[in-house]
Amino acid sequence: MRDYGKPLPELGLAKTWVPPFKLSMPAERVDPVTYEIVRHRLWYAGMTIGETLRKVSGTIVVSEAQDFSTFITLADGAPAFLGPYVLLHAGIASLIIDGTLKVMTQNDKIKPGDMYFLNDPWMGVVHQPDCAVISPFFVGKELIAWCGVVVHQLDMGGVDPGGVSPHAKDAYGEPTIYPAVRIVERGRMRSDIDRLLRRNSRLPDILALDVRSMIAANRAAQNQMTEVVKRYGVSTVQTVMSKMLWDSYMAFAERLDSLARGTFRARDFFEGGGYLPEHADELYEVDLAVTNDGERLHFDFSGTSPQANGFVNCGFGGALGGILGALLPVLAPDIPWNGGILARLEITSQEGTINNPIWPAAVSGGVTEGSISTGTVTAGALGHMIQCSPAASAKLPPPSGSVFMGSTFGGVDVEGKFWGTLIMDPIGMAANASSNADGVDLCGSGAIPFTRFANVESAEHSYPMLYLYRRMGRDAFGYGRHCGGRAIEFAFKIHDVDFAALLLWCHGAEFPNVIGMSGGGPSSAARFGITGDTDIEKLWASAQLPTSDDFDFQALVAKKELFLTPDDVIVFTIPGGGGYGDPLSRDPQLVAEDTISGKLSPKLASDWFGVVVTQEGTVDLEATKRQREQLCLRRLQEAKVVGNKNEIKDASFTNPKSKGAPVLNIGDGLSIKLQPDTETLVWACQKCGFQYGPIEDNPFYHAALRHGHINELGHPMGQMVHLDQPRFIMREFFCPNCALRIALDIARPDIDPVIHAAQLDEGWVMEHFVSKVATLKAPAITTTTDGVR
Amino acid sequence: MKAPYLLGTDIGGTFTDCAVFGSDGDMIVAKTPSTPPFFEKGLLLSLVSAADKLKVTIEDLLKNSRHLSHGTTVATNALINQKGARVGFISTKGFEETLWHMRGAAYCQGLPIADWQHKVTNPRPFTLVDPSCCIGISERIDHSGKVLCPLNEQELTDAAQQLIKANGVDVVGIGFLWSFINPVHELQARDIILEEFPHIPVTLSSELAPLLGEYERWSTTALNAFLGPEVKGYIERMLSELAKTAHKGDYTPAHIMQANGGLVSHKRAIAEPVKLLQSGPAGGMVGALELMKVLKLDKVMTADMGGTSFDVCLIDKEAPYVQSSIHNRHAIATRMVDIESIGAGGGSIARVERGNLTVGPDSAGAEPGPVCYSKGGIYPTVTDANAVLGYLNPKALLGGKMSIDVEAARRAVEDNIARLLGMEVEDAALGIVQVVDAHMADLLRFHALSRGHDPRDFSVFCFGGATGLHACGIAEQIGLSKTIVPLGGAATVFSAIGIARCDQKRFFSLSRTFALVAGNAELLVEAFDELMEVVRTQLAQEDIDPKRLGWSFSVSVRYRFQTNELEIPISKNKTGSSLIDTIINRFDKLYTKRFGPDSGYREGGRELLAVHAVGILPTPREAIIASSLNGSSAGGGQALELSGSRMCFFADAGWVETGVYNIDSLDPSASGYKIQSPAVLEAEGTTILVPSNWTASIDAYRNIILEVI
Repeated sequence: MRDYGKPLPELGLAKTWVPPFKLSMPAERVDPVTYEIVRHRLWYAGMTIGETLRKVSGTIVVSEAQDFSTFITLADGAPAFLGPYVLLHAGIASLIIDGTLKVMTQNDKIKPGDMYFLNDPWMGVVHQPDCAVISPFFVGKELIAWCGVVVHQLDMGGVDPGGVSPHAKDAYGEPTIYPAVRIVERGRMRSDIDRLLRRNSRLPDILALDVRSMIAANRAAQNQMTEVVKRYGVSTVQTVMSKMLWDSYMAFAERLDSLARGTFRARDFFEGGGYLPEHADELYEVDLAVTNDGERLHFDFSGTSPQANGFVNCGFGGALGGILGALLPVLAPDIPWNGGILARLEITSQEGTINNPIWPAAVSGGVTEGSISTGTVTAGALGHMIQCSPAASAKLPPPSGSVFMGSTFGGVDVEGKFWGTLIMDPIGMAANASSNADGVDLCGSGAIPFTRFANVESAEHSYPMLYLYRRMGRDAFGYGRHCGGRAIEFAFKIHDVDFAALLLWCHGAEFPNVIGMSGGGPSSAARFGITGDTDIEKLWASAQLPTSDDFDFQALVAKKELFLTPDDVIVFTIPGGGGYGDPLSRDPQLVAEDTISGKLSPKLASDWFGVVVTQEGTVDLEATKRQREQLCLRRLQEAKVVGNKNEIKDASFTNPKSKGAPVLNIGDGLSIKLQPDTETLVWACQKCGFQYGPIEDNPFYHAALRHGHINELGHPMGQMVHLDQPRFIMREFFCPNCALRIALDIARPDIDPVIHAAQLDEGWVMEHFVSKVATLKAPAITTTTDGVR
Repeated sequence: MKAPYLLGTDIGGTFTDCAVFGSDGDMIVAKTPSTPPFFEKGLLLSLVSAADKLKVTIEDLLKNSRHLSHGTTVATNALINQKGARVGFISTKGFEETLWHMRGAAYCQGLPIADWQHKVTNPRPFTLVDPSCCIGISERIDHSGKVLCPLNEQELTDAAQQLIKANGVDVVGIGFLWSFINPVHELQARDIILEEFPHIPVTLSSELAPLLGEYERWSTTALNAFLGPEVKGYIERMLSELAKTAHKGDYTPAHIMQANGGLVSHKRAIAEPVKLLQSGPAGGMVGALELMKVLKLDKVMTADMGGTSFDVCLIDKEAPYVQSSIHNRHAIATRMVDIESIGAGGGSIARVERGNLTVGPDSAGAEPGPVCYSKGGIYPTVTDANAVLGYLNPKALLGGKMSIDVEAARRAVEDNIARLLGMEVEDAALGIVQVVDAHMADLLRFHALSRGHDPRDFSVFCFGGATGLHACGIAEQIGLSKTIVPLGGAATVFSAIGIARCDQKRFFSLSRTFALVAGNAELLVEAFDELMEVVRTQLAQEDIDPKRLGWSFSVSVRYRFQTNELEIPISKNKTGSSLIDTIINRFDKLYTKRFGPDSGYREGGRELLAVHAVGILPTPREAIIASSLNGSSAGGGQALELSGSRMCFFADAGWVETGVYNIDSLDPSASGYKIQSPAVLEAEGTTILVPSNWTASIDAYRNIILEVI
């Protein structure tokens, strides 16, 4: 474990990764009209790949869940076009092409008419069910470009059905790995490889169908590329692709330049390494420090847990996918997504860690574990960076970490046939709140732009299940001045069959994963629950349909295998988004509305927001004022301080009050001020001016700190692994003077140091804010502030 | 022109179009401004304008019309302006948030893909039903239609009271899970509500869109309820205006165009307002089908460029349909003509961003419109680029009703585009036109490829106000050597022409799912029996004898484990297992043809999803489009007279003195005449550009055939 206030320790086996391609400004100039015409044409060519895939495959994974991605790259793997599907896959285009180029030898070269099939997590794919087919595009003998698709497969073998293997200890127990095999040679599909693929899947025909659709999609892409090259010429097409990359590269540089310089940190945990007894107690940590130097983002994962002996690791492609899934929608919502953005990233990571494991680590659950957790820390660190960037924060969406509640549900139907599926409803995720709005309800995963869950009727039509309700979770979102968005909660039972198996996996069940910003509360936890004690049939007979409030669910641990009988009712509560700002600053009227609509319980309205709502649903203003004062008082009474050596001690605050006007406001709670007497920069409370300490310090070390039981959050939660002793506490950080909350984090008691979330580059602050204030606002400051004092 | 006439009218957002066919096959068209919010006034104006051209009174026109058919944007307008009823919705308890959830796709659904990148900052589509007006009640039916939990009448009565009395809703929609399999609870709920509140209109999801998928079915139901009063008000006002205008109310009742490409009675139209959305473009598809028969073409793509959007439709012998679509970001699960759109039109704005030239998808629309319209537009648009290049008549657009400010357009292109790119202003204008041509061509190509076709196997019909200027440019981009502007100057009112010639059609569907195997032959028979019972009940409400209609039948089929559905026509003469075999046979063949060899997972078996019946009451067709021109089809080839000339700018030749022809009233004798290029052909409401490497000829039906030299 590393002290975040100190310089980085020796990295040991850590390596720094840069993209395996080089970008340069296109040497040739294409006139703007031709550029726009060819660019648009290539874009539609890329879209044709997705449409062909959808058309030929027609499976639910491709057509309904859109769990696939498409790309067109330059010869070296620089992706000029990324389809707007699953970003987790799309980011890895360059890795799998680079990986394929590297395994080819002098005697076995890439040839025109070849296509390669691969699902090797050590060649870039996120986990084994994500299968890629890529094809080189030649003009004459010259390799010009690559086209490709990645499609999730329902079964590629392994110890558990469905491709995700919670029972595995290593990759040998997981789906079979194909490290770039030639599926098409000289334009023809190889029947031996086809046989090999079928033989290793529980659903050989569907796999065969999808492999054919992937080949058809590559052919469609090759045809379109051929037509474009024929019409506009090779060099024009290459130049246009290079310029597409270069434009995004330059636009992303401008974006980075508009963001705060410094190092920004976040930490995430996930519990449970699999279904085996030795997995039960496991707890893993992903640590990230992102440094923005104005031109590049450097990601450092030092401190991340060693690899697990279960399915939760993710290959390096998963880490990259996690980063891009969180980064692109937040830092580049308005920049075309392609390798130009990738080219400004550097990643330092130790081999043998949970998101950069060494063969033969088990990785089949990596997509929802290691990779998503990597996305969560990325979102957290970028969130701090954006908060410190006044120029950018207003126009960028709030970063949202996430959890995907995975499941494989299957059994044998009345005709004796095997059935199985993934339950896709958990894609009904929510977004974090931002400085100017509540988080968006049900926006779906950030890493998958267009997502939607299936109709209840479609699910009940295809599988022997019956939904009891599907609603947004009550109290299941982060509390703040702006509240996190709400996610889906649904309950179902089996129907028409006597028995079914349900494999469940997620993380963040006994603690929330997604932190709130600027003093906002965290997301809720992920909850799997079950109850067998229902009188459904009796209630139905008397024309009563029980729904959410009528069940008393017993919470489950994050990773659990269940065998369901018709009496069992299962619930999934997907975590809502994190909050923004101190909940005591939320407009009481909005809190009252939240209680009327059923979004928030009246008790939590009072406990967390300090708002007292009358029977009629109006705000009791007097009682609210009293309650809020009471809560502030309690905050300070119970608080301790972290102190410079990270030792918690009783609070005694003797810091002088800060002077002058803020040069930079950070979120709701903090500001940076220039102290006129010492000409140094300090952290100060935005509300009362309390001085936390010099800019190089972590302001949280100087804040009042209160430890709280995780259950205080009031969210629906999963089961604690150790029932009597939660492994996590909630830590609240307040202004010791006015009790304004500036942060809330989740940590293991006595183990986890307080994170130095925003370590700002002092020179950047001086240059960008102080000099401006001095020249523009200096007279104003002297007359108003100093004059009054 | 000989009476009796066929009248077709199409009210759009900006213009109201009218087409009149005589029984001798002659045709005249008229175009007048629309008059929102009282669209019926504009309808009358367009009829008056048509009557003037025929030199008869509007009373005589109406009296001597056999048929007045009518497409209208009223529903679309109400949806865009969010002007509809306050809707109450009653659902199965536990699922009352379904409409709000939108299957979790609220921030992307119906938006251009570029906007998906920043979905959490996109606004939600406006809410058809306020969440406080969605109430769930106890009732549950399972996938087989079995009642698990009976309808709780007390909860229903309470919900109705709450919605109507306390929340003040005007209309009620009802959607229960699996109601399309067993509608008993929805019917029961309607009876209970109507007993207490007989004046409240109630829409049932099981009647309007009886298909699997509760979100889309309920969304359609809610949208129907939302549009109801607005559409009813319009249709009633329109009928009363017509009655006032005609001699003693003596006119043929109006028929209304639906988005499925069929006409219905005004009563039916009032009951199903959601089906009026996109009825105008559906008229264009019907017109194209008619013309295809005349020209003996099997494969046609239509291209319709207006002020803000570009619509394409692919016709491979038959009318193309989708069962589920997104309209103004709301899901609709009723049959609609398969039309795809992008934001590319005359009003599309050109910009320079990071040294690159972009055009659209945002549009200056009708307000403020292009710079050259002098209505306050400041950004250069496609229309401005056309004006700079000399393609548009500077003095007399819209048949002389409007002049344009070419200098202002030039300045806008110069300041916003040319200077930033270091180009001459003409080259910049040409660039804007070429880019928008390429974008439209990309959509046509994509539309065809994604439906399993090669666009080069198709003829293209270019109609709508702005397409004529871009017809050759689009064709060049796709690699076509020929393209057609149908019916010449009348191409601008092509939807009205299609609507005039449309049949009355009634579509009925019922969702029934079972494995398509010989053993289930009985289930198929039962499904059709049930469907025909629905047909009889519904038609009886309108006093229509089903026997008067010609019927055709089809079934929707897919492979198990695959989501691509195909509609297979069947004949009801066959029954039992031989019918099943026939369906399987046809489905396998069509699947291979549409999606490619080996694309179907036959081992999974086939699954029937729905049964369909279409009843058709044909419109009299003694007059094929402009058949009076037939006599000269051998090619009189009489030269068209130049109506003037002006300087136009072309990529290869620069500024060239270009001939201008008026094609408003083409004489039959011109059939077969080849116009020397470059040329500009002008008609009321549209302009057709013939670049120097193209030639234009006129055929027997006044179609302008554009071909590469």
